[in-house]
Amino acid sequence: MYNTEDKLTNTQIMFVVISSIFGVTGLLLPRSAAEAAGADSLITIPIAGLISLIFLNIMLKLNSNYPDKIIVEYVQDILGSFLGKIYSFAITLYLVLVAGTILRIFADVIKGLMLPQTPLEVIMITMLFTSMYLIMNGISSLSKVCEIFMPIIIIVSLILIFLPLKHFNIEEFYPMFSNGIKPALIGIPKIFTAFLGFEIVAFITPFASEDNNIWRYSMLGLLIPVCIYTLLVFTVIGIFGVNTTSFSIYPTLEIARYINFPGAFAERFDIFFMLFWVLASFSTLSCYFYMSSLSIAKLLDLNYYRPFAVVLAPLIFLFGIFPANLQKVFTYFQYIGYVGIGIIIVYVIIYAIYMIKKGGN
Amino acid sequence: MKKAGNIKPEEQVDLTLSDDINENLAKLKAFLEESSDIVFREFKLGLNEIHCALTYVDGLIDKEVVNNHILKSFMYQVTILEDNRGKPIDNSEAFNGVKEHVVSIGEIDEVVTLDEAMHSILSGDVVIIIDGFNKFISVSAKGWPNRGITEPEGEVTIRGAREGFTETLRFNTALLRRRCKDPNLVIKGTKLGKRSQTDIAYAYIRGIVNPRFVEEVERRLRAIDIDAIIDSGQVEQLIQDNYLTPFPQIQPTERPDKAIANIFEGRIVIIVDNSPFALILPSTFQQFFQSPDDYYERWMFSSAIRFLRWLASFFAILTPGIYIAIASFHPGFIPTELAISIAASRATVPFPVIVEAVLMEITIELLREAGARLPKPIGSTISIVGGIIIGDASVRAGIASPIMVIVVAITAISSFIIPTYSLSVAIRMLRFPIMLLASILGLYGVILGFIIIITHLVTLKSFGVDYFTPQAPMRLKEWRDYMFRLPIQTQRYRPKSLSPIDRKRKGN
Repeated sequence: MYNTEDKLTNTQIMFVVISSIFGVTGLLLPRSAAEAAGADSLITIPIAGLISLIFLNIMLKLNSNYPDKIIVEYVQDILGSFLGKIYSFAITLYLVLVAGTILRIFADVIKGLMLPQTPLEVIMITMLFTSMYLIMNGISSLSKVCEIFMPIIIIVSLILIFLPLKHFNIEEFYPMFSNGIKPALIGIPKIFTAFLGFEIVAFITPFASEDNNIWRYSMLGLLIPVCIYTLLVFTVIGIFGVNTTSFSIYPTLEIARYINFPGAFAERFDIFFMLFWVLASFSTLSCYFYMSSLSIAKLLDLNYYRPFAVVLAPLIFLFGIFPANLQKVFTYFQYIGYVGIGIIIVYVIIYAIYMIKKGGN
Repeated sequence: MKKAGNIKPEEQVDLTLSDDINENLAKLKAFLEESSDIVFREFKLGLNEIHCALTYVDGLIDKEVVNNHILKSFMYQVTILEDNRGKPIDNSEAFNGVKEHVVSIGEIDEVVTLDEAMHSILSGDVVIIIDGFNKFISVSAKGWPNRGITEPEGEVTIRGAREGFTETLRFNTALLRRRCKDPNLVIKGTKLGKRSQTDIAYAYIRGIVNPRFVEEVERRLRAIDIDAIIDSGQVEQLIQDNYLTPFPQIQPTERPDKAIANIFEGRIVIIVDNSPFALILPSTFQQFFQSPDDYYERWMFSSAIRFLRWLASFFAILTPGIYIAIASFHPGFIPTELAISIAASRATVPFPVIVEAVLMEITIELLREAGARLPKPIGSTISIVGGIIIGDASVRAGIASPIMVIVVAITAISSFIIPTYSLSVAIRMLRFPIMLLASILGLYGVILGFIIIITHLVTLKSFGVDYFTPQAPMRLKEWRDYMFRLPIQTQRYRPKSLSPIDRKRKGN
């Protein structure tokens, strides 16, 4: 079955969950939040976070009934082989699509900011190979890398959020609820997609040992990105206002440019933050890459996922390179996010079926 | 009987000893006679003139001991004994008589096969052959030229013991034993190398070390099948977990205080005869940043130094790469004045940054290697000639920019700050792939290289212990002795990653 040496620690579970959520979306969220809910997004984000916590809770409940299985295996137990396989295939496809899009956005940002002459493909392929090298070494290596990078990234993000605060203007948020509570609620699904990634808990249950407090640490793992994202959007909108934020491509990078240190070695702080953001994107990509390889292996009832990492790498690359321009990438990313919401909703239905079946027995 | 040169020890037809001394001698001589340093001394014992012989290797024994306590006893002591008893020693009691009354030496053993006899002769024992017995007496009278205990040159500390391990196994185990009078300090011995039969000792404290490490070390040592072990470095390479990595997973040390401190922490130390380097295992990455005087000096100072070493390792790996990336891809990243001065200083240099950097880095590696292999006075001359003259001249000649020289110098100095040579070599080597990545992909390449190194580090293990602990898996309690060395008062427990039986190190 699963390699017993691959047991995770509590902190590793937390950081794996954080890193699969916290990554590329950090660059895009302020804009999509501003577009979706404007100044009200300050309320929308915590609500979306709360909803995702509820979903995570449901997921953890169902997982705890199948401690030796990942989602792809146990949905087949619940729904039967055929329906289960269709659902699992949808999950796999979704994960591959997300991985491809993450890779593309990452490469676009790097190209735009640091390597204007370098072809997009080169950046994507080097990143993909590095990620493949990591996941070939198994979940324990993946979790250790998340464990090393994530604390650094969290600290750097907090610096990024707090340093430009002198430009902050609270009036950008006034008037709140100018159009009533409705826009704030309509924006929830769009913002909710930013917290997708917590599904990874359904893939790591077999690697958690009995003395792990998986519930507490994965909840914490989701809560931390929710808090940071809330702070981030608060800062960005407070500095730029709703309009500028929704017109800027990567508003998070824009506020990095506001940072100015007398006597600093770096003049372009956006590049400086970019370097750390490479680490974040790398761990997010690797998490999705790992999940998709594992789920395709389990879909075929196989116990080894490594060959599928090799098979999936070109697929991820193709999905990533496919959109013609950045605008389309963002549109696709939004659609894929809705697919993710769909998957989560179906998951809740599956949970209901499980409960009914269990009650019937 | 075949001539000795034509038969290997394992092909020897008859390894058992006979009662006849002449036959035994002939068998021994078949193997050993051709070597000029083997001494066969035949003599007669007592009034009955029992035919006896001594065999030993000239140079491996203490002549004083052999002459005064063996030969002299045989020739004079025996006559006194016979006088006192009033009757001569007869043939049947000669063996026990010699053992009990004649040889006045502590370590004495019986040898029953030719194999054993030759092994004890060759490891410096004196073998006594007595006519009429199918067993020999082996007497320990070892004494050979040795270097004496000197200050370790590779691991200099400002504070702490000045003693270093030497080439003689027994001295080294004595240095350990003197530092720990706990009867639970076990120093086990074994032999490695089919032909060299090198003595190996491994030491640990029973009741602290986790037995699975001892079992694993024994298993790996047993699995070694090689003809000769010359140095502990070979043992290290033969028992390490992964040989496809630049990073050392076993730590060599010349210092007995460091070795015993690690034994107290729950690790095992292997000592190899003929090598002044003991091996500490299991070793994790962070251990290579520790120096013994970190623990002897005050903690604030030690912590600052420890942190400096970590910083230095980042510098040593990344500085040239970052410089290349900034100079060729992102001049906007640094303050404008600095970017301008870099560009101005590079104006006369005809090569791309990467060529310039590789050229200078290779030069400094050449200088380092030349300085290391040369006698000390010349070595320092080389470093002056190299460092000052070549650096200055290459800038004047327009081959390199002054900033490049600074970068190269910082890199070199940083790599020398890391206290363990084996890790410092690895880190120096790694900067070249990073430089290459930087020249292709700029700062993104540098970060990519960094990610690959980290990924590689977390996959490594040393005897089942995660190499990159306490960073990953994160053990915050062990951070008290990681990048900083917090006060001894706080270090109450041994590292959990070693899962020692007795965790507690210090009371309240």
